[in-house]
Amino acid sequence: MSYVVSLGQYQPVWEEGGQRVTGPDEDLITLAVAAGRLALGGHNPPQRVVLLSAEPEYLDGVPLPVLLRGLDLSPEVPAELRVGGAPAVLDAVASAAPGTLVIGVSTGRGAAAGAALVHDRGMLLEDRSTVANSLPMRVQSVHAHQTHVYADGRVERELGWKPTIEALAGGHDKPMVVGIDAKDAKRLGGRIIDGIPAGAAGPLFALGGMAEQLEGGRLVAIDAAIGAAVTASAVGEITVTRDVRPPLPAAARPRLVGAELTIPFSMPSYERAVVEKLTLTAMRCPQCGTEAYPRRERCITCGRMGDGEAFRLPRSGEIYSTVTVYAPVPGVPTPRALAIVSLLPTTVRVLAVVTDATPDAARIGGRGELVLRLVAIREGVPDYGYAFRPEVAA
Amino acid sequence: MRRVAMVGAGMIPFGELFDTGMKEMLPRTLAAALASVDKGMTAAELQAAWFGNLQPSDGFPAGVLADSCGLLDIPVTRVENQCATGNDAIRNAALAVGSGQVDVALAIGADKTRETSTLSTFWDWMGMARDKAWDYPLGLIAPASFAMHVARFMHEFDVRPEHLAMVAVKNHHNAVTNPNAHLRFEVTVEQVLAAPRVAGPFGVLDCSPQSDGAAAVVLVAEKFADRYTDRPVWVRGFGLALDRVMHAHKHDMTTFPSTLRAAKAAFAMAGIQPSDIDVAELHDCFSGVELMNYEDLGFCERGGAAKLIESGETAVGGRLPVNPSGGLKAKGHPPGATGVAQCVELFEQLRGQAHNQVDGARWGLAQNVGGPTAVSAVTILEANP
Repeated sequence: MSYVVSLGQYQPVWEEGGQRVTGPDEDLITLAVAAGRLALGGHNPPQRVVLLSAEPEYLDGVPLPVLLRGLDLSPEVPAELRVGGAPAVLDAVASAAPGTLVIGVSTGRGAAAGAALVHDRGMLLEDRSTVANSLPMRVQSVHAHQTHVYADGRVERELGWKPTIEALAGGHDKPMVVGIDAKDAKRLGGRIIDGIPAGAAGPLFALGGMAEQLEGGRLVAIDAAIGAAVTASAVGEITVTRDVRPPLPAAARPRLVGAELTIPFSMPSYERAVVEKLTLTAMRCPQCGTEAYPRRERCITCGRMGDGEAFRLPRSGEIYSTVTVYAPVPGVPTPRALAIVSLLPTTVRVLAVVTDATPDAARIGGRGELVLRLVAIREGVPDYGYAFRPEVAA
Repeated sequence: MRRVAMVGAGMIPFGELFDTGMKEMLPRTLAAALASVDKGMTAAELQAAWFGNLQPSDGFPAGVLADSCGLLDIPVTRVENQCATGNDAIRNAALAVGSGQVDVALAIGADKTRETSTLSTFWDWMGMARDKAWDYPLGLIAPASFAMHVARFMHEFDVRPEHLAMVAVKNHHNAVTNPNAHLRFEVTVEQVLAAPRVAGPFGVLDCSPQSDGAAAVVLVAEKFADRYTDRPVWVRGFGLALDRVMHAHKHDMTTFPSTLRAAKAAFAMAGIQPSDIDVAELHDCFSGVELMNYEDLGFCERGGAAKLIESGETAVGGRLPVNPSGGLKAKGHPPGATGVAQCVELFEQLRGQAHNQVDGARWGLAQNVGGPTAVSAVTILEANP
């Protein structure tokens, strides 16, 4: 039994064949941060973070420290990465202790991220049950670059989905079914809500939909012959925050042209900048108030040496100047715009890639927000930082 | 400081010099500079050399110059100051001659930008010019870096794409008669505007080409000038100045503060005003940058650049011809050589020998702005009275 007090839902802006797909600067971590921040808005920091995905790009090294920084959390908050799809996400939410942030991400077609903050009040999830039968319809080996698919939808339906749903329905006549395509769920007699992505984020979008429609009921999440289910009831208040923009055609995404040239990388240089970068922490001179980002050893106004007062920069800003780069740049997707953004009311400006927009969409004076993105991959190391996401007309 | 005379200046034609390595370029350029000395000079008379070179080609730059040119008995110093490199090499040589330590000095600049593939050159140069952790991974290539300034400049001062194109048209026209120019063809405003886009307001025809090339000048102390020529050109002023390196730290991007500072120093040293200049070679790596330079150098008021290019005053035959050589835009831009080649053009202009001669030119000015738009050099030369 658990309570969910807040849900965050994010999908990339790009769309292809009716499905959302990630932009060139998005991955598991940036999607997780986008949804996680929405769920955390206004709440106390969680005591634990659980990130689940069936397609982790990185098993070690990068993800969790960047996730915590991107969520504005202390690096001491325990965080774990679990490999799993929709059932694992629903089970994680239903079994988590209060103070846990559970994030489910799928990065493939229908890319989406959902986050749930488990609390001691909110939407009640109870009667948790799970099924885990072996039906390896899709096998993704860490040694292989592609997923091995047993291409027989009828086998998956008859041997996987159908018995799993039956086992988990818990006496409910028409459970909500997530984790698979909505049309399949419907064929199997499941209830659906429009706009729920398949995959790991599905249960968290479904819970949000149920909360918004003020209905409870049985929620079944399935993946082949693996499943998990809970019964949800809207006992307490729950906030659902969604960031899903009107789609842009994926064909307009910036893309790598020509040679795949690696961008040289220095680990010490990365390490010196990473915290300031990921947390948007600037420095104010205690003597004269001059702001610096990144920090400076010597204040440019009064010459004072050493660290100043750290402060967090605002995440919204206004474009001072911007240009779209059309020329192919090795290792950098084009065409795409760069912008110098004033983070008013501070005096700080940042240089950022303009993201989630078609070329020439950014204008001097335009407003938008800084979002964590994969800025570059340098000698194999993902280099995260902030990109500028222009506002869209409401 | 002793007065410094320029008694020789020469260059090799800029272009894609695939068949010429640094070790061939440098001796040929030195020979061209020595051959221009009216009463003759040999390499053995040089007492020190400064070599402007941004990107080493064929190894250790100072050593390659000394080795290939037979300058093993004199000190050779490599100068690297981004696009201001060439004029900074001249400044260093002039300081040495002016100080009395050296009587005959060589300032030579060379780069081979076509020695690497077109695409990798972007990263090679950015690696020298951008903060490794913050700006480098964003891919702020040189055209984008300057376009960020020009976009804001156009926004604030009602400068239109046609005004940028007029710079390209003018400088291409000037290069047609310059045997040393890389791009010797005319372009029209319509062609410039219709060219494939590169970054922001710049299309391909707004951008200088990637050139190989080298140029050299010989500076001597006043008391030895008449041993070499009766018509020296005088180095009357120079300035070199820096600015904030990261673009986000540039307070007003409609101006290049490093140019303001370098120009102030050079004009003060020469004791003249911007209105005294008769001919100028300015840094037009991208068309709109020439317009910004007009304002930074005081050739027009703030916001007056569009009107100045429209008026035709900066064409050859106008009140203040700018880039009669064709400029970086059409003559070419091997950065280490660029500033030196500007002074080669001014040397010829101030001696009445230029291919696009500005009648009666007395004062000439050369200017560069470069790197992450964070360094400028200005050199002011005067004709012999």
